[in-house]
Amino acid sequence: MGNRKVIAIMLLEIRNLTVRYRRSGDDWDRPAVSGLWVAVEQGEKLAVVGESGAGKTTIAHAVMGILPPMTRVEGEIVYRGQRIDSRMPEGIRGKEIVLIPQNAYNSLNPVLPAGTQLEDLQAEDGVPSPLRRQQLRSMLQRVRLTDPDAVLASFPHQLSGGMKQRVLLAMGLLREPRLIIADEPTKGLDPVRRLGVLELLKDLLAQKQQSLMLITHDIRAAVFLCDTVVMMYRGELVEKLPVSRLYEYSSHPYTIALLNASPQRGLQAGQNAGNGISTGGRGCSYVACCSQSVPVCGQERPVWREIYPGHLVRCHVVA
Amino acid sequence: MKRVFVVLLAWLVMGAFMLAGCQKKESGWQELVVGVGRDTVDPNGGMWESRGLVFETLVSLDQQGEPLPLLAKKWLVSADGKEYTFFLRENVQFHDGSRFDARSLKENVDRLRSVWGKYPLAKVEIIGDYSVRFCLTRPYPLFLWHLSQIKDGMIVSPGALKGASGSDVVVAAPVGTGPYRLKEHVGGQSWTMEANEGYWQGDVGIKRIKYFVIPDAHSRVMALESGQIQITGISPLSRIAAGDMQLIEKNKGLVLKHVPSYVVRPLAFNTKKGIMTDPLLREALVKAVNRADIDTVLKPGGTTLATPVSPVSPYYLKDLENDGNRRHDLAEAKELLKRAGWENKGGNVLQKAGKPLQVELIYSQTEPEMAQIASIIQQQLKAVGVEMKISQIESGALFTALAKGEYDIIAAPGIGSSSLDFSMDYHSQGKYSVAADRELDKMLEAFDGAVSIEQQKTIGRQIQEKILKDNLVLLFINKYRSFAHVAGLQGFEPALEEEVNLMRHIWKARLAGESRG
Amino acid sequence: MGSYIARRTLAAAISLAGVSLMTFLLVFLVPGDPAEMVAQARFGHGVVEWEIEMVRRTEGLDRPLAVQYLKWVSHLLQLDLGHSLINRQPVMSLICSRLPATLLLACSSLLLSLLAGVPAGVIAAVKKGTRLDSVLRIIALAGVSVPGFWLSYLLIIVFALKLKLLPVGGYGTLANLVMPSVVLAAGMAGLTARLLRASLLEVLQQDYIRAAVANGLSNSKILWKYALKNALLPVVTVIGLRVGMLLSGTVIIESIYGWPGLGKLMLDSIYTRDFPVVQGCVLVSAACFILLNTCVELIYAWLDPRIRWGTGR
Repeated sequence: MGNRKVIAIMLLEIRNLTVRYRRSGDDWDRPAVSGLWVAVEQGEKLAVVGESGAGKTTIAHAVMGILPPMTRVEGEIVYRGQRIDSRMPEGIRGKEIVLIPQNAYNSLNPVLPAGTQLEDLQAEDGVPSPLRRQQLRSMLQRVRLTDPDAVLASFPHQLSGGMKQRVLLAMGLLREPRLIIADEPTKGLDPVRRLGVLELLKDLLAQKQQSLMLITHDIRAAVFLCDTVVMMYRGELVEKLPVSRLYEYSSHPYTIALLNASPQRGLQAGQNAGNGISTGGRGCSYVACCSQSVPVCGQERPVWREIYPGHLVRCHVVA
Repeated sequence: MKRVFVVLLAWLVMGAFMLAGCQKKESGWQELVVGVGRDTVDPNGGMWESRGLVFETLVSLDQQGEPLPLLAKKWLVSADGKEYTFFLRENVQFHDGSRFDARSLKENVDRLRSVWGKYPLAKVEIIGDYSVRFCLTRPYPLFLWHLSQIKDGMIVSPGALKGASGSDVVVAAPVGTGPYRLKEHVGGQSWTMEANEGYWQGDVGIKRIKYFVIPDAHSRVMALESGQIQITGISPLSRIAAGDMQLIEKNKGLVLKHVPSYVVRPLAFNTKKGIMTDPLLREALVKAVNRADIDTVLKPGGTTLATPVSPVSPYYLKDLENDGNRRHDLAEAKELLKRAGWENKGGNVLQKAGKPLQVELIYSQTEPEMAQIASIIQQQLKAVGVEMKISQIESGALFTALAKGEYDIIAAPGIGSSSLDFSMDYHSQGKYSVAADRELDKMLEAFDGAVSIEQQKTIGRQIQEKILKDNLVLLFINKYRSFAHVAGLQGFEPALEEEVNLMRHIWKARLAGESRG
Repeated sequence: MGSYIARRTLAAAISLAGVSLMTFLLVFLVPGDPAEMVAQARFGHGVVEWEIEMVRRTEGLDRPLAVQYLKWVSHLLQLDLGHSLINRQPVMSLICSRLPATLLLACSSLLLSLLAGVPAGVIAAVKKGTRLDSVLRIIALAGVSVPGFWLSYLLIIVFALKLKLLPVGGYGTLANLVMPSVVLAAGMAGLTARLLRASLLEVLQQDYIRAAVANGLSNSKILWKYALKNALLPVVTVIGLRVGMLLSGTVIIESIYGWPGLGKLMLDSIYTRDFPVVQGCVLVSAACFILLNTCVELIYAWLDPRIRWGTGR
C-alpha cells in the first residue's frame, strides 16, 4: 500500500507524449505512443500494463532520454518541476531516475567485468576507492547474490541469466534513486524465478521510500508490486485504476480481455475479432478487436470518464 | 577532443625529430657518392662495380682499342703468336704491402683459374724477378685485349687468395694494386672506397667514393637531382631509365653522356625449326621492318644496327651497315612473301595451305624498351599481312625456350661483339646459339684459330656477310651506356672496354664545388 | 592452456615445414636452370659454359632434389641457413641485416596508421552525418585507393626535390623513415578509419551502450571505455592481416626508397635463383607471420573475454 502523503507531490509527469519512429527518409511510422498523459507521485508504485508492442518500453526510453536517433518526440516530460524531454539535466539520469532494462542478456558490456561496470557508477558519485568494494558487496548481497566477489570478478557471459538480472538490479539501486523504472523484469522467466524476482523487488522497494514505474505485460506482477495500474493499448492509455479494484471492477473491454486471457494462450486479447465495425482512422483504437463495440465507437474517440474516485476509463460503452 | 591534441602533439614531435635528422649531412667535396641499383660487393663477383678500382691488369686499352702498358711496362710477341713475354713494372705494391712481381703474377695464373683458366696456356715461366713468359698452345690474337679487362685479367695479392687448388680458389678479400680499397660495407645499403695513398700511378684525386644502393631507377635519378648522389648509370645494374634522360638533359647542373657499348643484342630468327626456317620469309620480314621507327624509341640511349658488331669495335664494317639488301622495302617484302607461297585470301593475315602467317616474338622482362619495340614491329609486320604475337617472359624461361628452340623470334642476350665472340651465339654447338649452319661453324672455328688480327678481320668480314646474307637476324640493337653526373665532376674518362667497371680511371678525376650541409 | 600452446606450436612447425618444401620445389620447377641463373648473376651476362658448370658443381646442384632438400633441412636444424649462391654470404647474416629494416618500417607504419586511423574513425562515427564525417570518409577512401608507388613518387617530388626537406632514399636517420612509413600507413589508416567507424556505429546501437547511457555515465567514458573495446575487434583482425603482409615485404616501397628490407632481398634472390636466400627469406617471413597471428589472437583474447574463457560457465 505504501504511505500516501496527504498532499501528493508529483515526481514525474508525462504530458501529451507522442513518439514517432522514422522508417526512411520522410516516412514516419504510425506513432508508437500517442497523446499519453501519465504521472507518478512520490512514493507511488505505478504499473504500465499492456502487451508487447504496445509502446511501453518507448515510454521508459523517452523518460530516460535514450530513444534511438531518428525519432520525433512531441509533448513534455517533467521531473520534479524540471523539463527533461528535450535536454536531460545533470545528475538525474542514472542517479535520481534509473532504468532496469528489459534485455538482461545484452545489457551488460561483454568485455568488462561486472565489478568494473558497477565501480564506474560509483565513480560517477565520487565514492572513494577504498569504500567501493564494501559497498558493492553489500549491494550484491541485498539482491541475494551469494558470492559477491566471484560475481564482481566475472564477465557477463560467465553469469547466468538470473544473475545478470540481479546485477542489473544492483546497478539500478546502487545510487539510491528516487524513481525506478523497471522494464519487464519477469519477461521470459518460469514461474519459480518470476516469483523470486518479484519478491526481491518488493523487498528492495520496501527498504527505502522509492517510487516505481513498472512496465509489464504480467498483470499479476502489477498487482503484487504496485498501487496503481494503467492499461495501455497500441500506444494509448485506455484505463487507469487502483490495484484494489482490478479484479472485480475493471471496466474497459481490453482490460477484461487481458485478465481473462491465460498465459498459455499468450495473452492474445488484442486479437479477438471485433464486431465488424470499421474505424477509418477515427474512433476508438480498440474497436477492431472489441466484442462490445457499437457504431459510435467507430466514429468518435472516447474521452476519459471517472467512474469512481481514482478510476478512469476511456470507452463509449462503459461510461 | 583531448585525444586530437595528443595526436597533433605527437606529429609535431616527430616533425621536430625529422628536421633534426635533416641537419646531419656529410661534407661535400672529398667524397663522391655513386648511385647503384644493388649491393654487389664481392671480389669474385663479375657485377661488383668497384672491382676495377681495387684490382688492375697487365695492360689497358687506348681509344683505338690498342693495348697500353699498365702493370706490364713492355711486352714482346713471338712471330708465331704463341709466346708473350711481359716485363713487369717495378716498385708496385699490393694494398697489403706485398710486392707485385713475377712470382705473384705466376701465383695468380696458377691458382686463380676462374680468371686465367680460359686462356689456352701451355705453360707460364718466370724468367726474371720482373719478367714472365706465357706459352700458348695456339695463337690467340685477342690475348692482350682480354688481359686488359678486369674480369679476364685482374691481378690479386697472393695473400688474398684462398682455397685448395684449381678452380676452387677464390679471392677472399679485395686486395689489389689499384687506386682504392674497400673501407666499409653496410650490407644492402652502401659501401665506401678509400683512396690508396701510395698508389703507384700518382695522386688519387677523390679521396672517398661511396656507393649508395637505390634499387629503383627513377629514385636514383631523383636522388641525383636532389644532390644526394653525384653520379649514376655506371653499370648494367644502375641504368638510367630512358624516360628520365630528358629530365637530366634539362638540368643545367647535370651532365648526361652516352658511351657506345660493345654489347649488341640480336632479335634472332629460329633457323633450326619452325616457320622461320624459310629464308624467303626471313628476308621478307627483314625488309618489312622500318628501323627508323624503332630508333626513335631507343634514342638517346641506343640505336638499331644492321650489322652484328658495334661501331666501336675494331671489327666493325661500315659498308655492311649501309648494305642495300637489308634496307626497308615494303613492296619487295610483299613480293617475297608471295614467292614464299603466302597468299591473301581476304582478311588481314596471309595464308598458306590453310594456315595463317603467325609468328611469335619472345623477350625477357628485364628490358623495358622491348615492350615498345615489340609493338612497333608488330604494327609494321601487320602492314604486310603477318600476325606477330608478343610474349614477355621471365629470363629463366627465356633461356629454356632458347635452348629448346621454342620460338620464332627471340630477343637473345647480349653478345660482346668486339671480340666477335660469336661462338656462343652463332656456332651450332654454342649454348646460346641462334644458328645451326655448318658453313658458318667452319668460319667461326677458323676465326678462333687465326694467327693475326689481320687474318681475323678478314674472316670476320666473311662471317658478318654470311649472317646478313642468310638473314639469321631480324635486326640488331645496340644500347649505349648512358651515365649522368654533376657538372662538378671533372676529368672523368669512362673505361670504354669495360661493361661493369666503367669508373676504372676515376682516380684521375677531380670533384669541384662547395660542400653540402 | 599448456596443451593449447603445444598444439599451436606443432601446427606452426608443420606449416613452416610445408612452406619450406613448397618453396624449395618451386625454385626448381620454374623454368630456367638454377646453376645458369646463378652463374649469370655472379659473372654477368657474358657467362661461359665452364663457369656454369663450376657453379653447378660447387653448389651441389647436380645432386638429386631429395638429397639437396635433406641437406638443407639438416643444416637448418643446426640453425645454419646456408650461403648465398651469388655472393657467398651466410644467409642468416643477410637476413638479419635486412630484418631490422623491415621490422622498423612495419612498426612505424603501424603506429602511424593507428595514430591517424583510430581518431579519424572515432570522430567520423561520433559525428556521423555531418560534413566532417563525409570529409574523413573521403580521405580514408583516398588513402586506401591511392597506389603506393604513385604516392611515393609524389612525396619524393614534393618533399625531396622541391622543398628539400627529406632525402630521396636510404636508411639510417629518422628522416629516411618518414616517407616510406607515410606511404604504407596511408592504406592501413584509411582501412582502419572506415572499419572502426562502421564497427563503432554498430556497437553504439547495442543495448549495453544504451544501458550505460541510461545509467548516467559520461559520453566520453562510454565512448572510450565501453564502446571502443568492443568496436576494435573486427578492426584488429583485418589490421593484423595487413601487418602480416607488411612483414613479408613491401617490395615496391623498398625499391623506390632504397630501404634495405626483406622484400627486395626476396625478390632479387628469386630472379637470380639464389635459392638458399629464397628459402631463408620465406621461412623467416612465414615465421614472422605465424608469430604475428598468434599475437593478434592474444590481443583478441585480451579484448574479448568471451574468447578467452569460452561462453558459459
